[in-house]
Amino acid sequence: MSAVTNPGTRQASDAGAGGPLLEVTDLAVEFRTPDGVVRAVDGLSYRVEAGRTLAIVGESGSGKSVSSLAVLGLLPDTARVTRGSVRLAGTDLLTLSRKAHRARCGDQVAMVFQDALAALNPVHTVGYQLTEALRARQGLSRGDARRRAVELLDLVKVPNAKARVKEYPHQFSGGMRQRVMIASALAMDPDVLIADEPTTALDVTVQAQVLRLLAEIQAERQMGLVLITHDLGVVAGVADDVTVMYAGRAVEQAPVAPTYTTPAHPYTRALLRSIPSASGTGRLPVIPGRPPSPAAMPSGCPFHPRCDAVRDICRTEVPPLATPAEGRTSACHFAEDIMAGHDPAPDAAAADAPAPNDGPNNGGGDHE
Amino acid sequence: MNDVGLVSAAWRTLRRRPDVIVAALIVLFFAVMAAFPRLFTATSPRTCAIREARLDPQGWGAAHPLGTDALGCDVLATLVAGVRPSLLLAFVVVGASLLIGVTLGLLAGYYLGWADYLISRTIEVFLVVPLLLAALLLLSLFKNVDLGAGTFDVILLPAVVLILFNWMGYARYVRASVLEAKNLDYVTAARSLGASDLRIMFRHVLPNAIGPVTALIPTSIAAVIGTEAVLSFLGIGVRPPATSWGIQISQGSEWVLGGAPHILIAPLVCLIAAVLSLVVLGDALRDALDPRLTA
Amino acid sequence: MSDGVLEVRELVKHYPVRSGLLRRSTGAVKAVDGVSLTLERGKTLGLVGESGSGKSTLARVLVGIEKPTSGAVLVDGEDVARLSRAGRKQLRRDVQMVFQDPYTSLNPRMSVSEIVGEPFAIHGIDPAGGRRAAVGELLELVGLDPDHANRYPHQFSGGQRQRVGIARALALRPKILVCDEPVSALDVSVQGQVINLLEDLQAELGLSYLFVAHDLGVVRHIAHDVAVMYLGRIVEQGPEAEVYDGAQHPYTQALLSAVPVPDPSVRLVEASTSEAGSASSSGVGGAAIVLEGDPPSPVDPPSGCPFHTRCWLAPTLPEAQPDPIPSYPLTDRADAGLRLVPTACETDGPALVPRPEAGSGGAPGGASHVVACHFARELAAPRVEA
Repeated sequence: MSAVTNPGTRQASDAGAGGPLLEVTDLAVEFRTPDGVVRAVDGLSYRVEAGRTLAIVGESGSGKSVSSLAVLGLLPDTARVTRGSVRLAGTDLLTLSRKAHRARCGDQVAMVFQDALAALNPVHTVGYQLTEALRARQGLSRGDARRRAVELLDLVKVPNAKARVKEYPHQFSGGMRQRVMIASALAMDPDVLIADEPTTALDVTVQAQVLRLLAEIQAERQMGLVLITHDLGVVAGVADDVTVMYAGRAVEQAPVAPTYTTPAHPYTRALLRSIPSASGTGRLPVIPGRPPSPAAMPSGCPFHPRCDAVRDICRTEVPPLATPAEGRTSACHFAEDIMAGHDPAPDAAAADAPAPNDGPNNGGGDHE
Repeated sequence: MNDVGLVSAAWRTLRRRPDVIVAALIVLFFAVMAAFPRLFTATSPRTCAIREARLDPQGWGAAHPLGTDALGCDVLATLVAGVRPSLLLAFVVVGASLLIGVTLGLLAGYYLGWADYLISRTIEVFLVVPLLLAALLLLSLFKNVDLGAGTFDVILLPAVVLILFNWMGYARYVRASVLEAKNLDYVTAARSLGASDLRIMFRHVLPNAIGPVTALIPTSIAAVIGTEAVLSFLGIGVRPPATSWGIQISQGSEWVLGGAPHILIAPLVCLIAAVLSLVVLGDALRDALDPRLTA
Repeated sequence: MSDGVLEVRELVKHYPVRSGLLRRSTGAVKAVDGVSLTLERGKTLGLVGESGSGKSTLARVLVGIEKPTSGAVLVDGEDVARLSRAGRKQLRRDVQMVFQDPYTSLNPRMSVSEIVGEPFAIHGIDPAGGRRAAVGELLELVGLDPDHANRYPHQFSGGQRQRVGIARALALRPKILVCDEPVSALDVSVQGQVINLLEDLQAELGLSYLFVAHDLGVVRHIAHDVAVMYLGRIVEQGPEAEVYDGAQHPYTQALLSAVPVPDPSVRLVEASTSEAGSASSSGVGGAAIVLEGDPPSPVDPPSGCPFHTRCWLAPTLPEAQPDPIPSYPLTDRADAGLRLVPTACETDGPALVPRPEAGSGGAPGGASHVVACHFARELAAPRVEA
């Protein structure tokens, strides 16, 4: 399956004019902490299209979860969106009141959390929780709600759904609980599903079942799926596009296949190399150090202290998101070099004359 | 040397909080009052003139700065005289029940099995027996025993009764948090290193399980002072002629609507001030001793 | 068998399930149900399996946190159970553990020097040069700054905390480290650092590792031998390359194929095939083998081969014919009658036996490749790790 960059593929008819279902532009989120204001997300943009899966990859603290909480209007009180827009079918959700924001999301954007046990209320039956929103908004009768709950459980392939709607969350296994979470997210028939590490707590064989289920439902309903994960294997297995986040920024955005073959950012490259593989038996190539604390962000490119291709410019200039090739974006001063598989020219050479690759795009030309 | 570092860090944190300093001053004030009552009043709490009963507060420097009570005794003098038995009783009762409760709760939660069974059932028995009934029983036992009139002697009976019926709360709290703490990985790690039960209990489990219990201490000090007043009705409170804040509060409450609210207000303000200060101090101490909160 | 530093023989660990007023024992969680394995000196044995497979329980038995129900644990040829109290304490020093979660495995109220020095305090050891110096050396050994010894765990990152945990485990100079998911709680970029540290320490100190993990990629990288557990039993065991490239047990094959591979050309979700049955002719389309359902409860494991209820291979076998006279009522299971599996799978627990088809013998000195399946065979075109 070749990765297609054309956003028009398998466009849902009801998305309206073929645009993206959800478009996040230049989103920035700040947290108030005892040590001052900390920027958790800084200038993140992405589009979710019908029938496509966007994976947001990052380590803990990269801002991948915070950004989706911002999209859903679920940020804690200590956080604030300082910039950007979240457009859902033409409306900027961030201009709405918090209540209106959540109401809109409830209809069209749903979320699946990592920890299904914590996200489900232990004192209510699964059937009750599945239809809570439906009953509140659409005034379903008890009988209708029960029937709808059974349908939803059938949809996520929970065996013996009729009997199981009367059970409580603790009576379900981890994989089944995650299915219930997915079913409850699907109850309002959303256009976009945001899944935050939906399979991290599951065993691999169960993970495969759940991922497959998500993909099937998505294909059937032409939903847009945002998959937040740290597992590059999962991304390769299910996603169409990928956004790699580091220290609150998107450092690389592209379709999955070229990202894995020719990563355009040193961080992506290093992440892919650090995955233990069959062939490597010696030392694992690692990324030295650890992700920066948002309270003490390095100057210039946030990745430069850990980068294996760091140059002088990286220490002072924040690299803008550039487009080194069709459909690819990378926040690296030397994106073309990285994509081509070699390291940028050493600084000494760069001091005399601008490196040849600095010219063509508007991203790298700010020497001096 | 490490402990020294922790303590000095604790002191640095404490100093940054003005409410802590105010609370410390209030506690210090009452401590001085308990130790040197003469500094605060020259009047004896026992020279009472019934014709001077229920005088309003007269202001500082007058014969009765805080007025007089229902029997004509000086309110300030009784207040000052009540500090020592009240605070001593509170600290003795809370201290002893803490010791019993924490020990039993730790044993029950850590070993489970029959030790837990025994301790838990004992807790339930003590919770079921009414305090007053047991107090009356004790009263009849010690009716004819002369306990003397020293500071400790006057609080002995209420202390015994209150300790007997105060430790269960601590034991339950400690048991619950020990159950939680003992399954954490660092406890397993210590066990896999071959650490003794005693070491695991006191180095690993208890320091991390004591938190919820320390939060109970200031309020239970207040409760002890209040309950003592009830016991004093039965004659097993602080022994007259010694007096206590609890006795004053219960006597004063009869005159709130009878035109002399100051008899109640004076001891009540002292009690609230003391308890609030202890709450603040306890809170600050807990924060300061937790390495996670000292940056 | 020549140089096994740790040997486990027929180890069983059952937890009684009590219920009712009299707290009668009404059954048992068969967490570990007859496991035998050998850890070679200086080597790493990877133990993989899903949650509930008993791999963590096995680890806890080996470090002495849990007592086995039956079976023997031999360290350097000595049976742990037969030793005196003092001998057991000595033995504890030889087998140490590294825990999964670096956030709960360090006491938050103890400084790093107290944590790393605790083994000395417990065993009353005063290392040459004093405990302080020894703690400093240990911290240096795991790549931490000895000057940070007075800091508390919360002041360190996850990876650094895991190094503290490793330093503590190394304090008593053990021969064996039992690592229970030591990197699964860490960020991807930090996992590699800890794995490299473990490998360096093995080379430097001659340690032997029992490496328990669910991440097959990590195990493949670090382990020399691999054992696959399912419901308290080992279903396949052998040298790493043979197990990964020539998996013979249908469970191992499914497990390997379910691991997401960081290669976009290997899609985990291909829209067309969805049923496990059709995927059994795997290899051809490159689709993953997806197992149905969750692992059964270890309280009441299936009869015969524990895997037969989820096995994708069994229903496709010619032996899977309807039994004219069923040995037990078919109504026992909800899906009875839907799934047909060979009678042998339902009645006989398969033993771990060497498969003749396997690259016989394996590396000299290494463990041989053994599989517990009546119908073990290699996949036509094994789709394991690109």
